[in-house]
Amino acid sequence: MTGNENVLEVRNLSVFYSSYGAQKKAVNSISFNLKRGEILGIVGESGAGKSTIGKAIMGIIDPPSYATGEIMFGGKNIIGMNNYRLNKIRWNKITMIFQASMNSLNPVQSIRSNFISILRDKMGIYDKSESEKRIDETLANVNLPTGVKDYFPHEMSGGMKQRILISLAMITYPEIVIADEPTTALDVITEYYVLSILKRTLKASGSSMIYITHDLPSVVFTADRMIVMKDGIIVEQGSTEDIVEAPKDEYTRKLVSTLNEVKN
Amino acid sequence: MRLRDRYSRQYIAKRIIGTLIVYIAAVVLIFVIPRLMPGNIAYDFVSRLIAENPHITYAKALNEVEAEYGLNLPIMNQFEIYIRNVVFTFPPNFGTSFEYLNDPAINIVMRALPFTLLLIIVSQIIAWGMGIFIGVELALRKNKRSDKTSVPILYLINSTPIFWLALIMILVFSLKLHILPAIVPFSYGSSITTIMYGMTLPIIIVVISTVPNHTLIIRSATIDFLKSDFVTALRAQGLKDSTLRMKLIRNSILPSITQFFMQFGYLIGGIFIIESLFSLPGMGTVIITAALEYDYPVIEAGLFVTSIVMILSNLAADLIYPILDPRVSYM
Amino acid sequence: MKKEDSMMSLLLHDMFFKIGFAIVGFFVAMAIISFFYLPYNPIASTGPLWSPPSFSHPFGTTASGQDLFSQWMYGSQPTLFVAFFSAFVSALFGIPIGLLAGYFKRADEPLMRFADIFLILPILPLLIVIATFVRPTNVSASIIIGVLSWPWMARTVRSSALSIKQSPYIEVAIMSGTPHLHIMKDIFVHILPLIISISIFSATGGILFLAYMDYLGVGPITSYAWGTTLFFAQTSNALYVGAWWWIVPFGISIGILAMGFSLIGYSVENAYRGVVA
Repeated sequence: MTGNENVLEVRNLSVFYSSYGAQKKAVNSISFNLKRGEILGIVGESGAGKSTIGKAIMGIIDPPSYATGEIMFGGKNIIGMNNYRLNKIRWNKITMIFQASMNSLNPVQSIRSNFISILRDKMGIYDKSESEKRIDETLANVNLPTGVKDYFPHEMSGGMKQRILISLAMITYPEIVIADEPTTALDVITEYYVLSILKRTLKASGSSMIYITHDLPSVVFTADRMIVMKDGIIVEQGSTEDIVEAPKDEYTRKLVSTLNEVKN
Repeated sequence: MRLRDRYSRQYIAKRIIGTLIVYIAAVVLIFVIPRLMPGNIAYDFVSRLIAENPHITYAKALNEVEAEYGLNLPIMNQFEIYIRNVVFTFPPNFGTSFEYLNDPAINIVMRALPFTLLLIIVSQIIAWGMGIFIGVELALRKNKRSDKTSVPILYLINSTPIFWLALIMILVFSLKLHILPAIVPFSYGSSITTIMYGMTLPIIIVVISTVPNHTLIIRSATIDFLKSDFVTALRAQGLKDSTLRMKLIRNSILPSITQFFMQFGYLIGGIFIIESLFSLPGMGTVIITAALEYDYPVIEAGLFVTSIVMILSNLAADLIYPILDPRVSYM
Repeated sequence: MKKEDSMMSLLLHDMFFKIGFAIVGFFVAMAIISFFYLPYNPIASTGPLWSPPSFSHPFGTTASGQDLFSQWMYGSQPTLFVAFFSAFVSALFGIPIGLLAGYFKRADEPLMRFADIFLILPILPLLIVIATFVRPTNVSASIIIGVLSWPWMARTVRSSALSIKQSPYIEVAIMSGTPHLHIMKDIFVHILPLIISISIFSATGGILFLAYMDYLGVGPITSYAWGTTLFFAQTSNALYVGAWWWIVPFGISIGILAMGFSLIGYSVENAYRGVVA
């Protein structure tokens, strides 16, 4: 599946957070590529700067915080792009799967209205029966009954909400999906169920994915290649197999050893 | 989730019981407050009667008035009669006005009610609509110059007494520029055009005075939403600005309605003063005049009807919440 | 300690706080000065009748020749007194009731229903009615205003107490059997900035309430608060005579002073949310 063409190239990306005058470097000059159709895992402890990378790619880092470096997508740099041009990329080309445990769904609107605003604004589908058909289709892809479109977030379990968030991200057949801790709040059985659905839908649409998590086993299960981060820098990157077989960095070695301990 | 499912039986029962409790409290309070005041409530009325009819002796007049209004009975019996007349009679009977003899107090108040409702409803629909748009707009511009200069101005207008705004508006528009007359006399039977003409300046004043409050509430609610996860998600979706705004407006309706009804008492107070200032034939004029003339039956009827209006509008708001926020019914 | 420090530094960098503080400070200073010095006796006839602003009477005079500048200075005393004292009374009721309702689940429903009664009753008309029978003093007016407006305080205190009660460290304290009074004190200290902010907002409400009462002639009329001056202007038909100087400065002062309080309350609330959230 994995081709050799890069869909996303990140060069010397740094992100600075500032609050009340104090400044902190959340991501420190990192570089990596994302190939077409591949799943790239980003692993690291909380505070390592993983989620920040996702935000930078979506262009939702708010002033006074800012990013420097290059995030090249389709020959253009996402950093420094204005909102108008970013909106042409957001959800048309690059989508994001948020954590279900975060309140990422509007609490006072039904699931249907979440889909409808995307169908209208991003795909130009205003026709009622057409949009119903699309919603039913995409819900079926994540094994949800069509009836859930009338639900509100508070009526659904974490696993259901997570699958809704996946289908929201897949409905536009994006080139890149950024999944930020998509299974963190789920129990282990639901986690692997959701991950396999995710893998299947990705394969069907040929999208690449950046899979951000602190959970190494799920990366081993999902990702082709992986990046290990610590304190805002990349300590190791390579194919998942290689890193798990022969970790080079001290931190990676510790991380992988936990995996082996579980096995034994 | 169907609309009907949003109303749990528990929710509706709770609201209705709550409404009844407040209703009972209001009825009792309206009975108690005048009777707590120093002096018999008939004294003033009696002295006025004697001034007009010098041939009646004080004792005789007092006796007759007390008998007529049941003031010579023990307090518990008075309360019993009051409850029978107010709670179990329709329309509630508060006796006839001291000022306009032979006119039941409740009729005087009910004739005034439509004008007050007209003033409140028209002004608040306009002010709320403006508040929503300005509030969301300012929230989106938080920390920019336009927001930073707007906030103190909004607080200034919000902190300026409504009657003073009215005085200034009359000074400028009626007395200097002669655009709108300060006082257009009209009453229950006047033509629609006369009423609208006379209502224009009061409505403008109430709108100016209440827009800042609506705006500030919606602004701060929207600022809270902008920090929430689901708005981050919406922004990442790259939706059109208008879509995002509509969603923010949709979400800020609930907190703004809650706040509005918490401050409804203040608003009614301001409206009453404006009515009396412009001599509009509304409830405010009726109650304030009655209070200054110690016209007890009308005061009681006025407070009663005002309470009913507030209680019913609060109940209505409670019953709208589940439509605006499906979670409410289960909280 | 660190939390208070960063709140203070946030406040000191906040333009709104500085403006609000300057406004309130100005009027407090004026009230203090007016205890010792007034250009004229504010309620005696000391100049020509209906005189527009002039050198000797910078704010002009009333229909009976009272000096309006002196009345303006003098009027800051009752206005500020009622602002502070009514806020104090409302806090006296609102804080304990709000804390109890937020902390004890069983007390919540009855206490909040009780507060609803006050919220739903037509406060100002009631106030007008009460005040026509009992001519209030500054103290009793503040008490009436405070008693009728505590539910706002109680509601906000309750909802913040409720959310803090659900935070892990309070839950641990409850489970480990720490005395209720002790935990409630902790919650109180935690939301103190918020309480200060609401109290300042209710001072704004007190100023406006007093102005309404005074303007209707049912307030503590002998203390000559700014609203009282407007009441006399109205009864003397100042508007139709064209004596704008009798009307303009007093309403603006009420508005600016109340805005000063609001801005302080707003920035304290912001600083609290900025540090805590």
